[in-house]
Amino acid sequence: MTAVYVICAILFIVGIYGVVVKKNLIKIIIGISLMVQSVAVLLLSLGYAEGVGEGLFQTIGLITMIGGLGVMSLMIITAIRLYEKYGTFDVSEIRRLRG
Amino acid sequence: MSVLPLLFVVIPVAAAAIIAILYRVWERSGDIFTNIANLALLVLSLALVGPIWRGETFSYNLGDVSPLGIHFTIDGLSLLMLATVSIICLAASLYSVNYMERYTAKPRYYVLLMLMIAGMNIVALGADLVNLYIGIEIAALACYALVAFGVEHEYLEASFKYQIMGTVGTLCILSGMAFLYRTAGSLNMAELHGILLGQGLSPMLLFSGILFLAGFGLKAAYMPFHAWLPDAHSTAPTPVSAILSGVFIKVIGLYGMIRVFFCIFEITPTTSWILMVVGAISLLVAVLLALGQWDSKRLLAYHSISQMGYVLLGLGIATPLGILGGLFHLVNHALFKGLLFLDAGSVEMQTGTRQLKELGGLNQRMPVTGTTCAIASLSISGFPPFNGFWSKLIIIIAAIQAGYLGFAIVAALGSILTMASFLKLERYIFFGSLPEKWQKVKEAPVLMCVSMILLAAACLGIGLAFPWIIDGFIQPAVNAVMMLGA
Repeated sequence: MTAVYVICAILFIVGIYGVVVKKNLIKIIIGISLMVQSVAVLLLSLGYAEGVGEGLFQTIGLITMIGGLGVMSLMIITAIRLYEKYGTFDVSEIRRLRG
Repeated sequence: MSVLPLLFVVIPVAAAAIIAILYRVWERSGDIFTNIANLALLVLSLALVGPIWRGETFSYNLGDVSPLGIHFTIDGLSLLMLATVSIICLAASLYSVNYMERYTAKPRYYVLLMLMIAGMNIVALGADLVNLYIGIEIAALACYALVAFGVEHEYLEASFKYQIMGTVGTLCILSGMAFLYRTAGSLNMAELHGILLGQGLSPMLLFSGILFLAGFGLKAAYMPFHAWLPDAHSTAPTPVSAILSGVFIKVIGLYGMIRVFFCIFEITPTTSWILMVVGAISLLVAVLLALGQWDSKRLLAYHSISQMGYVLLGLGIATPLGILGGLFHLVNHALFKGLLFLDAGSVEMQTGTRQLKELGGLNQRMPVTGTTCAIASLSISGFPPFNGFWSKLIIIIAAIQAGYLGFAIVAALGSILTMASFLKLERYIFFGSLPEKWQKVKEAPVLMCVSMILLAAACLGIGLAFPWIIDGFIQPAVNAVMMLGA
């Protein structure tokens, strides 16, 4: 079980790193995707460790993946539209809002 | 078993489906069905005030397999949220009829709006954490799209920022849920309270508590996590801004926080301190940031953070009076902040600008907007007899009673600074001399005026009738939070 926690923590931290440090919109989206997957893995493995037939963890894991997919597609659409408007994927140049 | 809770979900989803089907053949179906649905929701929630006050609760189970079924419950706190959501959404949908003409694809806007309302209602109704999460996800997805609805530079930028922060928040909530379920073996809120009552705080529970605090804090935009809020709330179309600032951050963020930290975990002195400190920091820092803003909607967005600080400060005191003050301020803030956003939007619609320095003297040309905005400004600054005064007074009295003199001083100071920044707003938009170029500005269309007058009347009415409102509407919610009811 500890190994699963460690793997999930590593995935999550790599995802956070991508979101916080990277300047490219697509890399930020990949970071978010890694975080979603790490939480899904956590849920599924917790359900596996429980071993009970309730299936609640598996259900939530599936919902997470579906929800993550929805968010991801919306983010990619937004990123494409941002590229059309600003001509770049670099977040440090997409800064009209400030203050 | 009562079918009533289900109606709060079915009505908005059905309206969304009907609009999505009909709008190609009937252009105005969006205007009509959205308003009818919101009116029905408001009537339904107001009709429930009496039974809830008498101590009844309503519940509905959709599928009866214990952990997997969907359980909806209406208690005092849920009803408080549902009624607040309904009145703000009714005002916003009335306002949208004329305001959203500037955007293309108005029917799609209505579909997203109704889905967002459905998501918020699911959050308010859900009796277990899974429903809470699903509601948050539905409402948040619709909300990201609504913030980006203008598909111009600023809209997309604000929406992207919000999507990133919102998703991280959702994931924190979800991991918190996973650890909680691993420890306690249930996700039903009432069961969880029973299971965790005797237990101490194991490391895993502590970790899940921290994750919940971070997740809901991100959703409610408390101070270290507030960066997305001013962008998203100021760039979204105005009716959406009103819903976002008025109810969305409360239902998606604060309501979950209340359920987790009061109804599931017991409130301990440590949690109480954390909540109060976060509230006080948000209250004071956000109001200082708001003072420096020259964009009317951005100024209001910063005030949302600050006023949410008041709510959290009141709740964090954790005495019955403090919780009462916090929940009362939550309702009041929804009303006057929604109204302020609608006023700022109607000024923007008629003049085409939100910059305070370019405006002035509009009281002569837009009397309804000017008057309602004055009422809302007086409410938020805490002038008697308007509603904001009473809730701030209750919070300050509760803080003094509980011995937190420092927090009471912070709350009073925040109120003075709020007044200063609303003096600025009023002075630059509605008072002073009317510039040459705004001589021909007209009052906003009738339906927009109706929605603003509705909210202004609610602000004044609650201020005048506050003993009855507290007794009939807020007290059942306090009982639900304190687990005294039912």
